[in-house]
Amino acid sequence: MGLTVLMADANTAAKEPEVTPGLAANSIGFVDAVSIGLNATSPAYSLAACLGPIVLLVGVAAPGVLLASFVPMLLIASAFLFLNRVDPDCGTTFSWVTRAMGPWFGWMGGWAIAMTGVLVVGSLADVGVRFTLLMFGLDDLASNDVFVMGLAVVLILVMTWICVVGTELSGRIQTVFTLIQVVALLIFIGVALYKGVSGQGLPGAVTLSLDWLNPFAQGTAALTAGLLLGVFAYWGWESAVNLNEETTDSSSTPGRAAILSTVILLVTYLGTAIAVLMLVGPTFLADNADQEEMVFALIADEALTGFGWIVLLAVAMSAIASTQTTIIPASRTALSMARRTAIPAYFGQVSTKHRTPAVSTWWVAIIAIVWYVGVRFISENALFDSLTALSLLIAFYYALTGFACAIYYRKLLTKSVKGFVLIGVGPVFGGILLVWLLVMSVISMSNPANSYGGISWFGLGPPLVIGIFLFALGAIFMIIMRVANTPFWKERPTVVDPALVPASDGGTAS
Amino acid sequence: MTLAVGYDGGDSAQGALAVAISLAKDLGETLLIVCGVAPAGNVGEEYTATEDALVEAFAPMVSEAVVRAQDAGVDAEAILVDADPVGALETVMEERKPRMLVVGYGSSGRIRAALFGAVAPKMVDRSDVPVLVVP
Repeated sequence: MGLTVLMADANTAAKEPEVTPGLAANSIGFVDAVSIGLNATSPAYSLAACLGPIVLLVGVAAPGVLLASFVPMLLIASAFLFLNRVDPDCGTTFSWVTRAMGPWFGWMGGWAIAMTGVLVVGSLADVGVRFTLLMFGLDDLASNDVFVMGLAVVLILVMTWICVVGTELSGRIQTVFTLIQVVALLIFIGVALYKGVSGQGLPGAVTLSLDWLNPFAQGTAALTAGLLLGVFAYWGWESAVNLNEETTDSSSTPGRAAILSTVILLVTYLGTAIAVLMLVGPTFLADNADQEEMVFALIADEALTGFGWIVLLAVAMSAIASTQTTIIPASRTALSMARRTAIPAYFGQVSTKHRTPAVSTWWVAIIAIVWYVGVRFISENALFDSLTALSLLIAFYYALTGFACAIYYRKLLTKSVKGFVLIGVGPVFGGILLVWLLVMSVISMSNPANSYGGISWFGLGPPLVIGIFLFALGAIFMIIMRVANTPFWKERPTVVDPALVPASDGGTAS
Repeated sequence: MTLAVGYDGGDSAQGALAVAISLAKDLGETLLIVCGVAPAGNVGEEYTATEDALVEAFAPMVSEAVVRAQDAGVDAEAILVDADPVGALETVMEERKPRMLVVGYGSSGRIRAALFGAVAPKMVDRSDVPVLVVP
């Protein structure tokens, strides 16, 4: 713990507090390090939310699409790793992009990252409530939209209150939750594969083929939509590589932990996708498409018969626990923007009683509830439309982070091969992949025939309308702040300080 | 030797500060006013910005506390620690070896204390030196 001596007597009290660099915060061991990346990705929730729509879009190519989506994620994670190294836990996309590319890009990046956090909360609460009800066998209540919506709003308020008062599940409990999720998914995969192989699958089940791992096997406009949802499924994984020196044995633990958590994530995602195809097949999903996230619950019951509740429990736990890992970063990004005068100072207020950014945290809840209830009322495929729109925002700010990394490090890129590949080419290529995905998805979504239910809003697919609405809202807010001409707009792009970068990556640090 | 008091500007901490000041005066000790400024929540993102905001919010409170002690004739020093309140007191205990800790019991009640943890019982549990809990 760092010790900061503020003032020796009242005469110096008015001075700006001197902050001496602190030692590493809570040291964490190998198992905890593995679980952090998994916990932030929330595999059980991600699968419950995304797997149905992905299979519906690309059929048996679902495992391949999930595999392919990981490529840009991996490249962007490299950008997070290197940006975090020169700006340790100071911030994320908002701080970095502002520093590398100036206030305009930084503002939109911050807006996107805060909005994604805000908008996913409703989906998390919805899934958490439905799967909890299903777990207790209350299937009728779980399919009663109004009842679920009411409970989900209560859940959002409770979880926000928990974030405001600053209590938090300890790292140990989060690790246990994560392990339960992974074990439940592995049991599901094992049983479903066994049933599939031994011919106990449903009539529509398909036989395993290597083609499943080829994302282009189905080669349609649906592919980009599938890949975009795949990016959503891995969203948060970058925290697995952001551990740095916080771990107990910093020379090898973070690297090994990141590799293991990646392997676990890929095995559970691909395994679950393959198991679902072998057990029930794509037709079952198409027939039950109107059930949205509930499809996963049906499949879990199909696979584990009397023990389906294990998977339901994992999904419910994953969704509810994730509200914290989503609300806290979203509120802190808002606070960070407020402190740099990018948004009104009002949002930067903190509670000294609870040591949390109380004002921005409550605003996260308010916007999340308005969004969740609104989308449920106006959209027939609310979950799918929201997640796809969210994925557009995620792809946007991930791409921005990838470019920011290379731009910020540009003076050091040619100093080492490793640096050139991992800091320059990799993140930029990841960014280009995501921009390509973004453009292809926008083109595809501008034709409503390609949307989930063939529904059209203003002649466009609903997720695209939602995405445009969110960007436009951000742009209006940004221009208002620009007109207010706050000091934030005088910030100018800089480059990384070579003294912060190890010599092996082209810097001058020893 | 010195006394250390946990202080966050709240009602309970005000009581603890008043007791600590009068005790330090009677014993002729100096006073360390300790405040934990780490943001609640261990998620790393935008951590520093949140902590800076907290330091700015706490700084005037602890300065005012130092002035109160000095007005009472006690030599006082404020310390902000990058930790939660319990961690802040533990750090000061190790690095400054105070003779005694003074903490407020808190006004949050038993249920909230059980759910969210309370500073006083934790310090009684962990401290190497006597802990004076002010009700």
